Amino acid sequence: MNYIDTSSFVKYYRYEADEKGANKIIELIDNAKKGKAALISSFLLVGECVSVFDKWVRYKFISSEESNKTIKKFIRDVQELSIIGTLTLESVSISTITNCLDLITKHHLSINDAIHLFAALSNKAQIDQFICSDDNLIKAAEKEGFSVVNPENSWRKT
Amino acid sequence: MQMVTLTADVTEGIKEMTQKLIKSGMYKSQSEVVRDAIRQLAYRYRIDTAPSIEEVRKIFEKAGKKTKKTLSQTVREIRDEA
Repeated sequence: MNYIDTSSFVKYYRYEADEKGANKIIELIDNAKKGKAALISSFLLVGECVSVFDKWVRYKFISSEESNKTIKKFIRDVQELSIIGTLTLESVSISTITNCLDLITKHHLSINDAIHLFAALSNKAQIDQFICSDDNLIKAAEKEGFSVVNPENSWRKT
Repeated sequence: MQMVTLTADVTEGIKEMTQKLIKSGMYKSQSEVVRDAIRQLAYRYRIDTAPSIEEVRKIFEKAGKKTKKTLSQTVREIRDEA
């Protein structure tokens, strides 16, 4: 099973020419849709993805209508993967936030980074690779002993 | 979202049911009743109302002409704002 954070998952919605690493994520998520790959993330991924699409509306890179279409497709993808059982989303609770406090100060992370790292640590024994495209989170995940893969580079340990 | 007009012939019974739904306060207009009925039919018959992945990637391809920014970079921005 691979942990996937939002910085990698969002690449599914772009072409490789526009977003480095997109082809690898497209292959991974399409495989998960066929039941050939198992993924895990934090439920935070849902909020972060929608925030990113909305941020592009605020930047005026896409229209509200285009963002709504994107969000609709994203939610459908998450539903599809969850129903198939190849995407597990770890819930975010009061206990999650409490447990993240140590990770924030230990690795100097934002709360979002810490929530992802905590979700991965809670399932460490089952996680083969930590797929991430965010330098801050990559460094912290490596320090916690994960085999980290950045799709922007190659499918080998960073 | 741009609206278009859809005209339909209905029985008196359907018209009365529509008016009862509006009177109940659940819907504000006949149009709202029809929109929700069609959405529920689409759900019942598993008609996928979400756009295709290609359509979404084309949206971001077009956006790529305005910016070199990536979605991954925007994730970092969101996290730094949190």
